[in-house]
Amino acid sequence: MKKTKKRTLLTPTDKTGLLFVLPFIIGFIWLFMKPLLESLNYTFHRVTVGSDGLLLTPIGFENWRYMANDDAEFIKKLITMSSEMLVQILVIMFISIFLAVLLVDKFPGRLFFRTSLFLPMIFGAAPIMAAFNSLGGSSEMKESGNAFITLSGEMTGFVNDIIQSFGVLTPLIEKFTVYAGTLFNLVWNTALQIIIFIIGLQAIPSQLYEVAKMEGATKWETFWKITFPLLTPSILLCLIYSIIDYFNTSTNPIVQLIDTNMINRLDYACTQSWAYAVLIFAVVLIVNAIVSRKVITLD
Amino acid sequence: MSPNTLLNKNMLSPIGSFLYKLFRYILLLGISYVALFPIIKMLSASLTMPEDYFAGNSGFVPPRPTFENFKNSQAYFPFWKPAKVTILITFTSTIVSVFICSLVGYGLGRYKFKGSNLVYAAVLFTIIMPIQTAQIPLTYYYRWFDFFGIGKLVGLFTGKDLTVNLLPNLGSFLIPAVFGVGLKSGIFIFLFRQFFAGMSKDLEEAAKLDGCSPFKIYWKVMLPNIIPVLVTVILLSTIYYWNDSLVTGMSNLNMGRPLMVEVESLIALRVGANQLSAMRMEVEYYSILLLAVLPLVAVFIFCQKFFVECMDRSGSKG
Repeated sequence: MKKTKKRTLLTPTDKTGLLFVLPFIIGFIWLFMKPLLESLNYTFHRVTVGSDGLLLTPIGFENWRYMANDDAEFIKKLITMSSEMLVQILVIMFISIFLAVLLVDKFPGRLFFRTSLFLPMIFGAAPIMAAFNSLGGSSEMKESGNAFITLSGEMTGFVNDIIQSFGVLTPLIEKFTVYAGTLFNLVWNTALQIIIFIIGLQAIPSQLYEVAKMEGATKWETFWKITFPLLTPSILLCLIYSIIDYFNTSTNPIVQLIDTNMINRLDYACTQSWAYAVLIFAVVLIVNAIVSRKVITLD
Repeated sequence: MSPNTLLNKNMLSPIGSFLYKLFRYILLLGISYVALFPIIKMLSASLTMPEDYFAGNSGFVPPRPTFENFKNSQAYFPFWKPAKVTILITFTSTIVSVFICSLVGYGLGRYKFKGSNLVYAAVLFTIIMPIQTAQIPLTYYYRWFDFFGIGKLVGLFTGKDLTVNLLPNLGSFLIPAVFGVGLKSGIFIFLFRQFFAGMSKDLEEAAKLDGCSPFKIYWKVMLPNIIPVLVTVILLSTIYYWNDSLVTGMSNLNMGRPLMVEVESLIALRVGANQLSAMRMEVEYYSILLLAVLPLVAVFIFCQKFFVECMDRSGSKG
């Protein structure tokens, strides 16, 4: 009797679903959580490297106390980063949707533009970028960014003059120029997002656009009434991806700080990276809770 | 013209349409220049004679193009040896990792079972946790590797734990890949889950009525429908494995160190720099960097064509 009851708990679909994810469950417990908990254990010890493994001396909450009370640099970096994140992520989202909309049409040279915008994913890698920087390429790179910014700056200057002659919106233009200055970094961080948005845009049924055309909708209305709502699943995906990517890239100051500590003081580096991970998890959960309510699907 | 062109010609006046096209080209050209700058720089520097490079008035086009830099750098940085190691790691790990990730993503995207949300949270957790945190304990794991405690069990009888050292072979890459916790696996599972979950139920139900097994539905019906995603993930995984120096740097392979680890130590230690003049060094290092990313660019462009085709097909199907 008991046996049959147990069997009804797991319907056939349950079992197959479990079967599909089984490799991950094993890997997660055995190759991810176990070493991770070990590193959590390190945070309560002083870790030194011995001849046949690591030597642990228990020190209680020493590391955590030090981080919360005395490590002003770490806390300060955390706060500035989190506040910069918000602006940066929004601009990344805006730019990648914008570029995806430009790139989704068929036009001569499209393949070239798509390819060149995705290439930074390759050079963005830590060893290549580090080498490039140390050879002095990066200062020139900034100049290349600057050449573009100067161009856009001149253009905004021109627009600015026009607008100023009407006497409005000057602070807004100034803000825009500041963001144009970070254009270089942004282009380098949007590659995967553009891919996701292009796939998302292609998945929107073309009948909807045909109907909109017949009803005489303008392109502006079409974008906000059809494209944007149906893009919301991709937006949620990109939003979470961008946040995680922003926090975990190797050029991020906190990741660099943790990396250097990894060599000198393993236990304290583990403490920092645990605190950091908890922060990221909290941010992702909050964003997910807010945005997923607005997501619209066709079904 | 594609049926789902966002900005339809009919909606714009001829002048507006022309202005839009002009604006798009100017903008895309400018952004492409910024994005392509490093490879333009590497290409031009590595083809320039050291003297011309330092004369500094050549711009991007080398006045006397030469392959000397590539040839000279081979003397202290033999490219093929580390490249072979990297190719082997990248190829095997990517195939295994992407296959497993698609399975797990499919299970999470198409099935609701007890604890599926918990597993999904676990996937997110693997993405979020900085991998450095577990890297050192993991290295010790692979040094004295023990299949599910079987080694310890044997140890109870023989007095000595049976363990395998995975660091000198590919085990330290393939074992995590098989269990869905390879390099960036979390992101791939997440992508697969998202796209599988977004597919309509009709196909799956039709296949089920025809009596297909769950694995066959996944392999024959669902997977072919997300080929753009599959290609993207293969591409990303290739890039991550090729460019990785953290995980690969921890292992101690018998066949030698992979490319990116060698590049990193070349730059950090300036290997070979003492025999070279500063002039030669810079252009020759650029040539090494170019060689290191070029295979990836080739794979990328190959996939890109395929990828664009697939995206267009998926679009016109509607």
